Amino acid sequence: MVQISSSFQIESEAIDADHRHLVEIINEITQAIDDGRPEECARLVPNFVDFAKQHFAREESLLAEYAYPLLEKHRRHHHSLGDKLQTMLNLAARVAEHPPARESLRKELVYFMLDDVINEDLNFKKFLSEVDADGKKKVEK
Amino acid sequence: MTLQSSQGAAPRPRRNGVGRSWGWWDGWTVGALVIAGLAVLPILAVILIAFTPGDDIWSHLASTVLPGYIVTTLELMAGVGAGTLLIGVSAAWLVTMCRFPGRRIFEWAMLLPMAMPAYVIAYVYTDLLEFAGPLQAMLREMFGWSSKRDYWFPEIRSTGGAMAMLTLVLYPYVYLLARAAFLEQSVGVLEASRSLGRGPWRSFFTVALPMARPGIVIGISFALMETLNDFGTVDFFAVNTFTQGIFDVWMNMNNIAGAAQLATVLLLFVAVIVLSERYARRKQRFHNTTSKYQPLPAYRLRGGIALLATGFCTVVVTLGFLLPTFVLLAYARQYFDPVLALEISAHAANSVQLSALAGVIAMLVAIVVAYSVRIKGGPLLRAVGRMAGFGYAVPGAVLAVGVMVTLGQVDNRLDGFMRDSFGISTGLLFSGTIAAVTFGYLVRFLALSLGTVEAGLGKITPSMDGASRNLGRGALATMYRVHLPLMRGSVLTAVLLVFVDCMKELPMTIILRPFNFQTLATFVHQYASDEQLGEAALAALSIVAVGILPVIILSLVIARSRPGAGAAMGGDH
Amino acid sequence: MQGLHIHGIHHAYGETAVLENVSLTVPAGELVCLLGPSGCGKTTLLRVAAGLEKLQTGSITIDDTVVAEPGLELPPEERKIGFMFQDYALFPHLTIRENVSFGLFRQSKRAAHERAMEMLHQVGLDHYAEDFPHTLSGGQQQRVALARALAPAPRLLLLDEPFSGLDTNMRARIRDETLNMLKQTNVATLMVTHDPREAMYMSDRIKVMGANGQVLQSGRPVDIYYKPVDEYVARLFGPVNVIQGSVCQGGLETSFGRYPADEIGDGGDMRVLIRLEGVSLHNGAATPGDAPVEVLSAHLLGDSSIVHIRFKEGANQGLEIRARVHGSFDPTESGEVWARVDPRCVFQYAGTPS
Repeated sequence: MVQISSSFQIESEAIDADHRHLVEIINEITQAIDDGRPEECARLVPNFVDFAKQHFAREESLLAEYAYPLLEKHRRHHHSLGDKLQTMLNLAARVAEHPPARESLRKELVYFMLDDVINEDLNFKKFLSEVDADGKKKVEK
Repeated sequence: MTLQSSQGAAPRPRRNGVGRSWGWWDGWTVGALVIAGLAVLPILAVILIAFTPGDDIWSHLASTVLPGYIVTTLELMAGVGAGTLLIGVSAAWLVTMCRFPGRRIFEWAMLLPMAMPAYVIAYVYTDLLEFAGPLQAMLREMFGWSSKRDYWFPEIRSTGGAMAMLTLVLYPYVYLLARAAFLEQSVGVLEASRSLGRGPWRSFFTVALPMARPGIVIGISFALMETLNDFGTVDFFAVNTFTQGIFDVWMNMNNIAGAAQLATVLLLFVAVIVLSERYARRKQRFHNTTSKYQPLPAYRLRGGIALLATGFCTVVVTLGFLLPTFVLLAYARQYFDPVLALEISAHAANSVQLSALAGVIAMLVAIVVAYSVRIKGGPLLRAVGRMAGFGYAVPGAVLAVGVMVTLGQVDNRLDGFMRDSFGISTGLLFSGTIAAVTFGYLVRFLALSLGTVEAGLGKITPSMDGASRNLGRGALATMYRVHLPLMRGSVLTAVLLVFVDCMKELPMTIILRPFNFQTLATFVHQYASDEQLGEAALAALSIVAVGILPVIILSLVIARSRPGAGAAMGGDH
Repeated sequence: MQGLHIHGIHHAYGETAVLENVSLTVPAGELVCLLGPSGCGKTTLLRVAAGLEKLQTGSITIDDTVVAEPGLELPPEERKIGFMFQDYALFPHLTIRENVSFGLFRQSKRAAHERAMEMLHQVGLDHYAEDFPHTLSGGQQQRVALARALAPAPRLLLLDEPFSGLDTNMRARIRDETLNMLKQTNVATLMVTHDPREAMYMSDRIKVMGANGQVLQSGRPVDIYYKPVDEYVARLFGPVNVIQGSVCQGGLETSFGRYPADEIGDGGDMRVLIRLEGVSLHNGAATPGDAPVEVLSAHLLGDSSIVHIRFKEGANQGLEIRARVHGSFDPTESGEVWARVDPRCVFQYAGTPS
């Protein structure tokens, strides 16, 4: 089981909820592999990938709303994760008949979540806490 | 391999109760600061007193004795500088670059005069060379002269005599550093010079000597610092240097401010020497880039030239060590007296106790300073480390004045405070006590133990500290279990070096000692000044015998640094 | 989350920044490698994690416990981290066994002795227990250092260029042994190296660092090798051939075919990088995409050869490139030689050489 401890929280409800949901799917996938139901990955992993993409889009529009100065950099980062998501889909297609792919998939999911998603999102945690303290000062469009 | 993940709820990260972790490091900083402060206090006190307006002795001094002091001191420095340069560099060049009979012995034997305090050699040569001495008596006998007017003989009790005495015992500083500089030189550059058509002598003057210059400058600056520090020789020879002047104004004119003012001018001399030494050191780093160690080329000297080389080294060692030792031995036998011997042994006990006390305290203090610089680092602590060693450059007489003034102030304040608060007079608690002498020794010789301990610590790679700390040991445990065992040799050397220098120390001991308290050095000084060298010989020999110890250590280091012997030192670390 | 989590580390010595916003995660049982040129701050990151260097910005969490963040810093001895130094830092005054049990002082003497001997047995050095470090070879010292670091069962192991002191022949063997030992202990490991092959061989994930202390790319070895984000990362893993040209009608024409470049636009500069091992040579029948080449010279390296070739026709006619081919290659063999590229070993970037 992967758990998100308090130091991994962005302290933005929408984003943290997304992260929690992504972790839930990862745990489901892990559970499925552990319980010998690898064929379920073929359904779960595309779910994960879809939700991750939705999450990226939601996060980007939230950051745009607050005029996060490094938004463009973060957007490029999200874009660069496309290859990794594709890798997961490829692995998922093979886990049923190819046991070594299971371990790879599991690792890939964990690193993706912790290193590529949460660690990068922590970069704007401080920024978000400051704009929130300012009474939700949003940029007028 | 599986991904291990936490079971159940993740514990909250610990966020408190660990803030102290860096806090206690500051104990080291404070300790080092206090030590460095105490070490520079006497020097500051001298300068402060010198600039305190009082009875106007300065203009009196300036118009009477000062010019003489300056000229004499400069003369003495020039003479000793030139003498040590000539003897030290020649000897170093001969034993490192040439092969001649006795070279391996001279390699360490050239250091022997280091064991001889300048004042001891001065007493011995005065005894030998004065009008009533055996040499002149023999000459008179041979040529039938009857009085001083019949012939010319150099006056040993003169500035020239003092130069000769100091040169004979101080050249080993230049020898040591020049030798090290020659050894460090890449053989390649000398060979390149030869292949470009320059002979061995021209190569020496155009390549080897310029490359060794920083080391030589450092050696000479040490010799000059010792020259300024010397009191016994100039006092005995009645040569009016600054040190002599400080004593005169302090003891005979009883004028603290005047002594402090002279001391401050002397400090300017010291500052010039220290700065040139620092400058040379900076350049030395540039010169030390060669790394490959190859056996040096050996110019095999033959026939007359080889004989000349052997003769030169023999004469220097004989004059600087063998002859005086022989004379003292003869006197010690001739004048042996059980009652006197008993008295001397009591003085020796004083010397040993005092020196050992200073040696051990200096070592402990040095460990605190060196260790705080290591674990805390930073420009502040490095500056503190250097400050703690300032005293070594300052002549003993100056420090003695400073210690006297400082402790006098402390005593007066304490006495005043106790009288006001409790109606008790504490009197002079520190002045004129063993504590005062020890404090003086510490200030003057701390640099020796500090340098040794720092060098010892420096050989231990910082990753040792890291390894120990990450294996769960704190800073103190790391020091106790890793550093101290690894630098045991350095610690012992640190104690020994300070011990030996304290045994030889004269000017500070004379000023700071308790009333009627004798050490070997003050005893020898007192008796020899009264022309009773025979009675003092046993005590003088004891000082020389102790002085041999660091010479032995240095010779061992030299033996180990010889090509091919280096691998014996502690494996990979 | 068990393991190491580092976030947002900045570190500077005076004005010089050596680490710029470095974040990474090492789950328990995994090995993550920091790969970068010497002097890029990799070792500083290890030292900050270990508490040997004061943290400036960011946070470090081990097994869900914050060990360092601004204003709060656990001293190194309380972090339960194993650190293997580049120079091994074995204590020369202690025997091998005393070295290994140095960190076991909280246990009883007997337990510490047993644990130390068990560790020494694992690295195959139990016979040397009472010897002193300087009597051992470099490889043996390395194993003692590893055993010493692992003996107190640390939560995290830090390895600083662990194999750099070993000669090439021994390195491969010690590397295998170390990897085996780490798998058995299931400890989270962060390793620093400047050797890309070592990084690929050892790690589950690689973080490539640039000279200015920034993380340039992170991913599985296979991602970094086949999908380098920029030319710098691509070149880390060995020499490359470069084909340079201007984009024309949305692509760059080469002798190997056309590479699309929609993002650059016509007239822009484009560079196509081809790994030497991505070029293969054959003298059979040509298939589409093969380019006829002239062989200029061949140099046998042992298991492979470097062959210098020149394009005979096409957009790059006359251009010389190199190929790394398996085994030996005889340039005097007659017949037409064809070069073919493995598309996975071809990377394209905008711009001119810097």
